[in-house]
Amino acid sequence: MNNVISIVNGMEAAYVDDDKWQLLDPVYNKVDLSLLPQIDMPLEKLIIPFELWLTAYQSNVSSALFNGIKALSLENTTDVNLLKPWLDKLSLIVLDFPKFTDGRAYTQAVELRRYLDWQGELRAKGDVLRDQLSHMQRCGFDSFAIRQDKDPNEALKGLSGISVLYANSVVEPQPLFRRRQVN
Amino acid sequence: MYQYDFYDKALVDERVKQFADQVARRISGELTEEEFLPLRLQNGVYLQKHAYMLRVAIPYGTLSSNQLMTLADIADDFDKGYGHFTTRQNIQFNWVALERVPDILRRLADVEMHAIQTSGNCIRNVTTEAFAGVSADEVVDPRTIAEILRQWSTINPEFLFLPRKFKIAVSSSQQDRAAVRTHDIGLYVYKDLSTDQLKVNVMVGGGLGRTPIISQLLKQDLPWQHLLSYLEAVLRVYNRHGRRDNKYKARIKILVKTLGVEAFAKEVEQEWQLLKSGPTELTQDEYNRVASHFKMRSLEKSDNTQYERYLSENSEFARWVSTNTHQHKHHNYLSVVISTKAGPHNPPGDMTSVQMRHVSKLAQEFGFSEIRVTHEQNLVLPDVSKNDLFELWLKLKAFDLASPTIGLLTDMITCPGGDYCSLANAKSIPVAAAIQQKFDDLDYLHDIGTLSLNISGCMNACAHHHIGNIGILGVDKNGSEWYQITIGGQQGKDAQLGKVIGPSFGAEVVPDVIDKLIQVYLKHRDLEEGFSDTVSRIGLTPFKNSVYQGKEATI
Repeated sequence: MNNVISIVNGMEAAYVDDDKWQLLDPVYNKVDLSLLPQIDMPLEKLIIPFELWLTAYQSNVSSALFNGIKALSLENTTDVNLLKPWLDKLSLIVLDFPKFTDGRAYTQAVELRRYLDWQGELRAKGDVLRDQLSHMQRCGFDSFAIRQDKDPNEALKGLSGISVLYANSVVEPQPLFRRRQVN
Repeated sequence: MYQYDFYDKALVDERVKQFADQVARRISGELTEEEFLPLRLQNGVYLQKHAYMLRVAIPYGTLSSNQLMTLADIADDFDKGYGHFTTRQNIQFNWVALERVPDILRRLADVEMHAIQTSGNCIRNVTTEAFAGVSADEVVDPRTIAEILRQWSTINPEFLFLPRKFKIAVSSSQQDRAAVRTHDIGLYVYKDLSTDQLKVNVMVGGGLGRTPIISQLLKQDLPWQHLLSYLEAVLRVYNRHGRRDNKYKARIKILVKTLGVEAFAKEVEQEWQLLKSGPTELTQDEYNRVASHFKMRSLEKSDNTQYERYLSENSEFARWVSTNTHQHKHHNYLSVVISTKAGPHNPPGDMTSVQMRHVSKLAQEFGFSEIRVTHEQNLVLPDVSKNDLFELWLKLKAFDLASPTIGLLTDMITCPGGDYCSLANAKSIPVAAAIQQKFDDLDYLHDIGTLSLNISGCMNACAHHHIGNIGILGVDKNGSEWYQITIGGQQGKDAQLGKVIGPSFGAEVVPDVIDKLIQVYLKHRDLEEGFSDTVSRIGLTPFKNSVYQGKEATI
């Protein structure tokens, strides 16, 4: 994917100029997934739409495909609990912001991190903009495919956000009232 | 009052810087209007008919003298010398320039104020009643819970882009004066007498707008420690399932109505079980820390002979006391309501900077430097000694702030309407003025007694017209302004929605229509019976007959 920012070790964020992941082009949505290995894209770099994956799985995918899957993307209306059986095969999950004002993926991210204990990379794609990055990060995202027309180096600044958060978050599981120092 | 510590201060200061940067990027064109819109809304900046409007948060309606003084300065330096108090206990400035908003926010931050989440599809300013902490019928001070919720909801990252706005109100008195049942979430806090523990009845799915609904009970007897985890569960379910395809069907009330409250409650319960005893469980330490900011003042006993004498000798003063004060926990004190509705010349909720400064000084002199904003758009001095009342009254009168009409027909709730608001279908302020003109006889007003009249300029119902005893709604018919009238609404624990009496009216006849409705009420009411009780008892027909006189179809 282009225009990706990634956080390494929970701290340093940087522009990734050689991101290896590729979204499965929507044109393949109609394709029988069992043909995937024949498509000229290596499976270990491919982000497969989960909804498509689920259909293929139910119609008996090959073991090569089943074992080779590394990354899934989810629509923001999909229940993340459906991912459970595959979580230990994956190294990347991609959540979607079709519009930056549609906040469903924040909740999906929190559920993945907090309830399903997802430890791998969690990426935001779609209408991903500078001014929402710190919110995304606090909900558990650690990489961001910034909208194509925006400069990712400018967008990086959005990660600093506001230093104080009262509520707990994925990044800081203790709410402020449990950490507050008298001053 | 709540005082900021290091963390509160840092958050607000950083927010000002962040917004200043966003404004600069908007002005340079780096941010498009579409990208900027939700950012400015989350800082209370609307684009109105003539200019930008800034809505400043007044958390649960509590202000210090110093803060009110700053609001007066802002009105002078950045607006046209006045501000408008809203039904959500906030204040709006109607004539601000976008590039100067960061300067206003800086001034606000200096006195521990902000405009965070006063608009946008996020959790809005938490409200409670204006007499919190002092009302005689109070079980526990609701401000502690309200402040805990304010903090929890402020820039809570998961819930900043909800399907639609989300409003929370808290009440913990015998009487609900916070319109709890017309909020997305309403909290009735009470003390469980067998254990002496605070518990909460959580109401969900109330709201006005184009689909007015009174909220339903979602969770009974929730121990206070679990309040944040329970609300988090509610918000998560709402964020997941609330509609986003149609903004008029996006409020939580529609989701609750579609699923049914039982099914909704079941999903929330499942979600809550995952969170319940986690780190968000509130601690007694935190409760005490916040509550320590709202301690009861130590008020002295006094001899009120002089006050009693004024009451018996000065009938004008006595009349003002009878409507404009509220029973205090302490026998020698009262809470005083300062009316913003002096008459046709003063749009309801509007106050000039001169008046604000005057109230600020009076609060210092007579009321421990504290002021409250009511959701009826008036101000309150919560603790005034009865012995100071006469002098305070004289000083309020001098600045046109002692209209003895609190709770009466002319104490109407009015939105800014078509004069300012780009959403409005019709003007509100001139209609309010015409009604005030018509009902300018104080004896008559007092004879009519307690009656709420609410005027909204459009379906969005900012003035809560559905729960007014008489509600007036501005509607657009082929480009001209008409007014639809409802009767029988009421707020409180037994909130009711008013019913439409029939076809709408032109602005010029509205005052006469109101008068006809009042005549029917006066003719039929039993002793002490409220307007809406009379409507319930005798039905709409006598009112319709009087207003339309059989000509219903032609209007």
